[in-house]
Amino acid sequence: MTVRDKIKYTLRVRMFIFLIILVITLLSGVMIVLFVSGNITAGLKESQEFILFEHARIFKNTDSFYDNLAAEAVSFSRSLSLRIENHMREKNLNIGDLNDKPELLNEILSEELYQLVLYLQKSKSSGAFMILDATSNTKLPGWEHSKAGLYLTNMEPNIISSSSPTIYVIRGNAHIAYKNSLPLHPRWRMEFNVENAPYFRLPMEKALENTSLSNLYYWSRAFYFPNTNEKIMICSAPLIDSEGNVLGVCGFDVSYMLFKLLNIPDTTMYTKIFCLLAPVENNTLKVDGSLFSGGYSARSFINDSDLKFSTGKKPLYKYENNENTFLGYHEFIKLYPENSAFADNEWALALMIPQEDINSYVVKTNLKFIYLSSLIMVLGIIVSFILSKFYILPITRGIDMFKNNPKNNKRTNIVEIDELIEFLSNRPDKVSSDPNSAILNEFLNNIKTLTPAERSVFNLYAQQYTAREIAESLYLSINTVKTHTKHLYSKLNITSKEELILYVEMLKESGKDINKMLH
Amino acid sequence: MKKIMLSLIILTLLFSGCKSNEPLSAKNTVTINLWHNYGGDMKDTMDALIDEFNETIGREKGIIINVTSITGSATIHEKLKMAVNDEPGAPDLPDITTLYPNTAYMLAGKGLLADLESHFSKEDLALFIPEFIEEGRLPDGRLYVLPIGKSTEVMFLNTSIFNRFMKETGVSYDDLHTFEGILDLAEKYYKWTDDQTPDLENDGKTFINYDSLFNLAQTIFKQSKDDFIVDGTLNLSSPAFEKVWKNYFEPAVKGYIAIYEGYGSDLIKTGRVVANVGSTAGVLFYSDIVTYEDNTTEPAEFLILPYPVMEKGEKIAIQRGGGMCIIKSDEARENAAGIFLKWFTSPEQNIRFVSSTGYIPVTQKAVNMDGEEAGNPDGKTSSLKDAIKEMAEKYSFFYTPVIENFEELEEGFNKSLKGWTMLCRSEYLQHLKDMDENEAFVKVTGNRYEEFVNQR
Repeated sequence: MTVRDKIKYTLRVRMFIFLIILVITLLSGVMIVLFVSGNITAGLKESQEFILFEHARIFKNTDSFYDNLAAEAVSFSRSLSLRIENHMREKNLNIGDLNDKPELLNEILSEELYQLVLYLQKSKSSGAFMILDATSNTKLPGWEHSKAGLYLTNMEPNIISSSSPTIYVIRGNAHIAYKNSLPLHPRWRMEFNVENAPYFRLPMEKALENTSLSNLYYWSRAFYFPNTNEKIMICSAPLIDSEGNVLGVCGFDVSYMLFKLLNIPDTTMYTKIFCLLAPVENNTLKVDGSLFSGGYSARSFINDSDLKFSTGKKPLYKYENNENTFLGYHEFIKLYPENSAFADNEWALALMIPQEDINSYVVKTNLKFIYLSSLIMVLGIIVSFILSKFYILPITRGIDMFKNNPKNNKRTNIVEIDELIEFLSNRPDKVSSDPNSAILNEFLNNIKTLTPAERSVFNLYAQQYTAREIAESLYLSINTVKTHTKHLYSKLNITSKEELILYVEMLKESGKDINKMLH
Repeated sequence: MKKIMLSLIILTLLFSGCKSNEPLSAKNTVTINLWHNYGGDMKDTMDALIDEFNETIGREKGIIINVTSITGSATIHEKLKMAVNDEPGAPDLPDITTLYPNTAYMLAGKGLLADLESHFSKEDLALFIPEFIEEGRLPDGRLYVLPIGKSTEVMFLNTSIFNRFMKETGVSYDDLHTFEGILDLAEKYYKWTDDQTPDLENDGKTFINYDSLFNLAQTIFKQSKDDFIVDGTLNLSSPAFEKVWKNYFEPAVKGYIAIYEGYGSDLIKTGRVVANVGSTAGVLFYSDIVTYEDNTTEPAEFLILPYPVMEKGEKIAIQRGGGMCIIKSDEARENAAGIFLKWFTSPEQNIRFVSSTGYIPVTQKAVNMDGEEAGNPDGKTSSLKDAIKEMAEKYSFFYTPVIENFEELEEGFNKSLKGWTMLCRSEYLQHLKDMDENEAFVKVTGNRYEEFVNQR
């Protein structure tokens, strides 16, 4: 008897295999549903949602902060312009008359120090400045680029509940600082060098063309203010007197530190996540002119080279420079009103993550899913094993009961098994109790109708040969054996080999020798 | 049935096990609030280090350090005092804060500080320079303050101006080593600068500024083998205080020494003084350019010299620089704070924190690191290192006594002495219109010394 035949006869194994097939089918079904519904790539979907959510949060903050700062710059400019105009009117002077008059310049700047401190605190910016279109010494080389002014910087924009912020004077006459007990910034200079200062030149130029102050404020690209080591963005508005004369500019700065503290992205999911407020030109984020906010590991990942963006895994964008590829999202941020002289300057707030980090997150998330599925499968197998044992238990008990005492009235309480036991207890009884019973006699008579070939096949079946073994033993083809089998089943009025053997056993039990009886 | 139930229980446990197998510490993060008073470049370094901790060890162990930068140690003291006394508007106490031992004394008195020896083993503490550790041990014998970076006071000299002065007057660098020599130099410098504008009388320039008069007084006392603070009060009746008076009040009234509320590094930027005695930690605040009244500029080179000494006095200077302490809370928070401090004070981090600044590392290994690890120092930093090295070899150091009212004594003395000096200087300038210098000086300063001592 082959192993296959043994398995065939072990009902528990069959049950076990059926249950495993069920487990695998169910698990595969669940996986297909998850795959079709997009949940199998949970990492990517999660990342997309996270990026969009974080972007929306930071965008809202930035938009409101920059909007407020621009409004404060306009208000600061109006207030300062009026005060300076009055001051100069009292002295009967024009802005051009202030050159080479350090005392007068200091007088004006000293008077406006309080305003500057007030606006610095009110605007919640990291620095406030005013620059007059005049210099204290025209005898110095390059004097035309040197402009008197005052620039206060808040060294610690993140300070909590301090009665007085740490204000340093970064530009302005040192006398003003000494007099007001304000420390000088380590990179302090007396005057502004405006040679390469669009924040000074551009609003002044545009002020001659456009008179509405709210259309004249200007946001500079992020840059290192001369001699300092921190990037800043400047919002400057022109100082214009009632006759339209441009006196200089004033405004605020947003330092790298302030921007970072205001817009720090949530790093719980991705440590290298960062956001940029960057100028946009030809589908490119100009990183050099942008402010950055991100953690320690993100900082080392981004340099000043431009990031070209293209549509990535929608709705995300792909950002690339020579070294890295990022995935993220950006939206254009409106820093100017529609009629602004600088409305053409486009800025975007982008939030991004190195693509390889997203990829590894997706793989990691799906690996987790695979581990979990495998675990479920192992558990399914264990459960199938246990269930198959419990399932087969009444059958084995029934067989034992029947074997030990066929007449026993004890039952397994499983309807089908009890019926089978009952049937078996009744049927063999009839046969075995009456050797001349009609059934067995009829069977014996039917055997006599078999052809010699069919008889040979019958004999081997009676010895529990399989069809294939019979074919080999009688040197017949399997189809011939099958034909004989079909005929002999029909003649004996049986339907299976098991029934045939049962009859043979019953005949043996009743003490009848088939061979003798037939001869 | 029992077996089925058992199987179901096992299954439930297996599934719930999947959840709880994730590292608990990383999942249940502890946020530690840290206050510090480092400004400028040190703040940037501090921020970068804390970012790094949060993303490495912190992420692994579930610790997030939340930093609050507070202006100056005095503000921290004030805020901690408010919090301790539960005053209206007081902030919540942080978990870690930078402070001086005097502030720690106040907190320890209320039982608010954790003993650091329960977080640092003897082996851990053995890595630190023993004197620096001892400064953080309070009178009850427990260690509450862990050193981070130490400083001392030195003299910053603008050699670009001093060399011109030296060339024309024959003074020497040697004169800068003693207080007596400095007084002499300051007088000569005033006259030399006054003579440069013959049409304007009494417009000589001040030579030097002392950032902290309180430290000046403490050091002169120590060099004279006396203590400035005795039993919680200022020892003004000591003859050593006369030396302080003669080295500050009198020359300041004459205009040789600056009377200034801020730091002398600001006065050096405009050429108002040539030298400043201040903390090594302030080295980054000295500009390489001097800008004069008319906006003309000239490059400034610096020489950094050891702290001056009284003639026949002991070579001793102040040891400054606070440390960090752990505020008592629950076990998890205190442990998390301990893990951060261990990481932050390890030689690798410590050298990064103090490099390119005037702070001295606190672990022996970090002190021995140089070259690549410590970065390439610029001229000022290099000169500073030489001065510190010389002082380490030839000087002994003292640290301020740990008393509750230290901050009040310091603030009161500085304000009061500067106020008196400023008033007398103003009177002196008035008198100069009608009388000569000596006459004006005697008139103004007559019995001011006794008045000051008695008033205090």
